Amino acid sequence: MGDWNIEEMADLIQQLRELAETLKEKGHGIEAVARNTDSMITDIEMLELNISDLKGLV
Amino acid sequence: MSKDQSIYWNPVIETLPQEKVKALQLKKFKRILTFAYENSPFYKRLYTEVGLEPGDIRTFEDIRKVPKIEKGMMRETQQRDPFPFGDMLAVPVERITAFRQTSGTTGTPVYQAMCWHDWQWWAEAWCYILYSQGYRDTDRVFMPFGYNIFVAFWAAHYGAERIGCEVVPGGVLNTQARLLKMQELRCTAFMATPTYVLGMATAAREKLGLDPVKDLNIQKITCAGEPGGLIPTTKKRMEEAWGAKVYDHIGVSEVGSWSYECTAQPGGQHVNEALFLLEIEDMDTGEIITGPGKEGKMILTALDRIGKPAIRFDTKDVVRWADYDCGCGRTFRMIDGGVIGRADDITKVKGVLLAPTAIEEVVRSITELSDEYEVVVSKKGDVDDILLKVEFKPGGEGEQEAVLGRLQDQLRVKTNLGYRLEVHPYGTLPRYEVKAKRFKDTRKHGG
Repeated sequence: MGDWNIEEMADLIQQLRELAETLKEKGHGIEAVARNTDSMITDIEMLELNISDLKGLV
Repeated sequence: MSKDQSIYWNPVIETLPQEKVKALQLKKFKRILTFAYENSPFYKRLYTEVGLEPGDIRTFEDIRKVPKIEKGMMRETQQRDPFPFGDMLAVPVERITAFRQTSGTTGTPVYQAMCWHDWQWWAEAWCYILYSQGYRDTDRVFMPFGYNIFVAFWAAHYGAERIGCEVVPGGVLNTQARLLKMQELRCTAFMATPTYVLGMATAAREKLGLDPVKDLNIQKITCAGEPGGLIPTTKKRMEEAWGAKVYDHIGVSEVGSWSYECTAQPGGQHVNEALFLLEIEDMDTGEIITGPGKEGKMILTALDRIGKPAIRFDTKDVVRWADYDCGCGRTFRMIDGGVIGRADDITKVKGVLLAPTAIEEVVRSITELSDEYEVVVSKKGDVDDILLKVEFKPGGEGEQEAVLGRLQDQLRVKTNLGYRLEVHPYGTLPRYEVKAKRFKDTRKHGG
């Protein structure tokens, strides 16, 4: 098994999500910010299902 | 044994011990069930009718309490708002960014609603498939696919891009133009139905005078859409025609791309148990089959698809668990071979259960016969009749009688049935570009 720290990676992914959500909020309705952060969040969701969902299992 | 981690798209998940895989699946099943219950009027209604609440699912075995859904229910719910998807939808319709639909070969098409998350997720599922089959950023992948309203290879395109492959869309080109472009760009891989893989090789030889083995640079081919990719004799024909490795994959439009054959090729397919839950249901008793060997109906759940969730979808496809592990080191369970047939297609003829894939396996094992054939089951008086139409390859007719005798013998061994054989001139049986329709049962329509 590789040397992965799932907890730490999951925390970083969580921070990315929070950062993207904050950025969207700060955009106050700028469509270019809202849509691009939404897109970013779906990328983060792929990281969540690959890594964060394993928290507590590995 | 320690494996080279670079063969996995996600080495953490793909080598997780099986009990942890099950724990992950249970956690995700509960999550998608709760999400659907809270956001999809269809699922809320379905579960309320049987008095089920998400909190009732505590163990893996509890999952069996959850009602199954079928394609007919999906069609029915499309009549409701919001248009055009109906109330199975679990996100606001404004969040849907991609429309696709099923082919509609068994009735009204089922509309597929994908929000951006779903589209990304579908591509992610394809990353697992393609990476396990050796696709890397050094590959130039040709897509000889119509890029139309069906899901088909759309997500494969995006999955290949995510892996880093260079993807060449062969959309509106005809077969010959596709072949020439593949040659011009020295493409290393492509994806198609087995029927089209064989059809392209024939077109290369007969219409362009090209030998796909020598004149093109294809090293791997990924199949989908038909069972042929895991029928050994069909796979062998494809590999010989192209001088390439052929890998199979199974997907269901209503659910996702849930299984794949890896480079180790032990004869079965891995179920992507990180993203999907596969249950195999005994067709006689309705019990869930957990051990290898016995065939049953495939019940699938997409554990992360949110726009139009697919929870315990009865696919009607028949599969069985494998009794072997794979040398690749992945711990995901395997199904033996591919889809054995559709529960609807596996039919009794003369009192014997017949799967159309068994006929294909025999026909494709006879080297003198062309790739095309057709089976027509009908009623002659009170007796079932099976007519098998075949073609000989050009120059293969010399030993016709002996070949047909061999075909008849092998069919009897494989299927326990006798056939009326009919030889058609080469090139006259129907050719297909996408999914072939080679099995016709006229008894079902009173014919």
